[in-house]
Amino acid sequence: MSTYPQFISDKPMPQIKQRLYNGRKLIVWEGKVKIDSINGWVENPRIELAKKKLLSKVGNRELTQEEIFDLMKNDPDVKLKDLRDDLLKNGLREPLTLSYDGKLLDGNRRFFAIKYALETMEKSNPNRQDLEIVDAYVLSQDATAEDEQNVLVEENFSASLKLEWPDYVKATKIIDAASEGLDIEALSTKFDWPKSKIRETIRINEIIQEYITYATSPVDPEDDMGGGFGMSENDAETSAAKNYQYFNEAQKSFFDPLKSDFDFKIQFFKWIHEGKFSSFPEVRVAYNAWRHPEAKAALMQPEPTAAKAAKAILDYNTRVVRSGEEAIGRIDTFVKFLHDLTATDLKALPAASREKLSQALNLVIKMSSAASDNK
Amino acid sequence: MPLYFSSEQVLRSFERLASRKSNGKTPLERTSALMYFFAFDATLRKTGKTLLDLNPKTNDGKENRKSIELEFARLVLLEKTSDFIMQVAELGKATTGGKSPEKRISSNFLTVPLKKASEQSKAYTYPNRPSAPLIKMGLTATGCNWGMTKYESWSDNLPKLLTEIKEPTVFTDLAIFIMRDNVLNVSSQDSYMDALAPLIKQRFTEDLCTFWVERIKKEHVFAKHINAPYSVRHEKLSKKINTIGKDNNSIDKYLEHIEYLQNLLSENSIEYTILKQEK
Repeated sequence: MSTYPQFISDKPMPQIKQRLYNGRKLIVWEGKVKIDSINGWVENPRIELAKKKLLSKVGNRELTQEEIFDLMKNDPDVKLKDLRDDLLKNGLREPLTLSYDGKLLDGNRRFFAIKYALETMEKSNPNRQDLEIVDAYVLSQDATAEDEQNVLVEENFSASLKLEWPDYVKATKIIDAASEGLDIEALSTKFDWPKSKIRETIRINEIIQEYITYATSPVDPEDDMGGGFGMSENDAETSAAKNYQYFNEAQKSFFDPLKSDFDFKIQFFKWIHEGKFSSFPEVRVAYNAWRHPEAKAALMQPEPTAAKAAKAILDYNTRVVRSGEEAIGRIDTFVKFLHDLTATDLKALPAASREKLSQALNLVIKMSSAASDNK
Repeated sequence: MPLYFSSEQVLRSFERLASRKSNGKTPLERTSALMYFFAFDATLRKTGKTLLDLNPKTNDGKENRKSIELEFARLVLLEKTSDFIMQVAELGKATTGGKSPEKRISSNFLTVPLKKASEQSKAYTYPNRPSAPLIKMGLTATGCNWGMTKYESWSDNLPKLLTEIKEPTVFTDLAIFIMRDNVLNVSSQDSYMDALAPLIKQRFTEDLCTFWVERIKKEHVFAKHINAPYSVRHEKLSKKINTIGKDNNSIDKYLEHIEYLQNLLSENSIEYTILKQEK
């Protein structure tokens, strides 16, 4: 049996274990290692661009650990400060992985973040010891270069399979804590979310709770609004969770109208239930569409493209109102198109299209005449 | 046997009217604007008019002002004895002490905006924060210097004043709270909507009643908190309610209460001495 390397602390006694890296079983020592005894990974590709920039200034030479440390600290993409703050709050969540000769194979950011944390901690801080000696896996003496490569691939190249909680689940945690009496300030500290995001979450929840109440109410043909959707509590909650980001968009775009315009609120819930929206911009314009007769008529259609059509109407109207020049440009283009049209081209068009064109021209003549009379 | 809304139901409805914001003056301002509007509307209902002259120097004006003050007191006052007063300054919360409701409205609404409106040439509307007027006043807006009438689109604006309230049954809960001391002309099997509609019609103008009752009907689907709403026993809300600690403990509230007690003693020709604390 191989022995553990010198840099692993013998208290507690290192344990030999088998771990799986990229489909390959490797023997590792599990124990505690002093941060001082580890060297950061100088060849780290994560900071390649920053390294090149520095090398162009200092000349082509091997960079020191301190220089790499500075690069890591100052490269915003590395987010070393965020990781440092997390380490200060939660300690090292995942052990580092080292080769038998002490080369860092996995945990380079964690390693430098620990150094960063230690740099900012008072010497007298009792929590220093938790970061001065950290958990690590060290490959056994028998590990080959190929084994080391497998560790690198597994830890640095494979996509992380860790999934964050869905937004709805996160929001539920916030609401549970709020109902226990925590105020915005306390919630912000507890969940490390900005206060504005906590407030938004509470508002989204307010809409969602109303949606669930409405959705679980029985269908009632005698009610002016037709009653609710008659859904079970579970189904209603699943629907709310699925549409969480649409409710978020509603909260951002028309929270007050949802509270004051009762008919709109019910219609919005119906639209959510029917799966009317297929994008955030479509949700964003829902209240404007509700107040615009043409867009509202389009949105109320049963077609799956109804929301898209309503948005197109609103977009077009906004553009025409915003820019008379754009309208003039469009007219010019269309007139040119008409002038270029030959009788044969026209004859080749379907009768319905020719009829539409004729109707549109008649309408334009009438409107133009009326506009001239008003002057 | 006459029925009332049970004190549990009134309390539940009242608490549901609390604002999302736990501090700041927005909830206070909005509650005042709402209650001024209801008091004004109730006076319109009583007088059968659509425009009120509130000139403080004419008999008619004085009568109308008095009527609005009384209606306002009826809306917000929860308990009053010779030395104790509990009232609503902010929906969902009760406060003790302070000015009487009559003084609150006369020294505020019937003084500041009304006087301003009587002196300016532009049409004056109220409230302006949020920009959702319910009332218009003054010569330009009403044709009468001290005139007050309802703003044309008050029914669109009234719900905008209530968007800070979390719960979706605002108009139902408001009606139950306002009718807290009324005898209900229903049997225990009847719906709360049947109980509220005639009371609202009795107390407020027809257009407000139509709007309000329709909203209550629409809110019905959300009103899961109203189960057995009636009781044969009438119990005052003040017996159930917790007053808000923060306001009551504030120095301002104490000072206001001391001032009130001093005035009370003076008005009753009772001599008193102020003891100064020695340093």
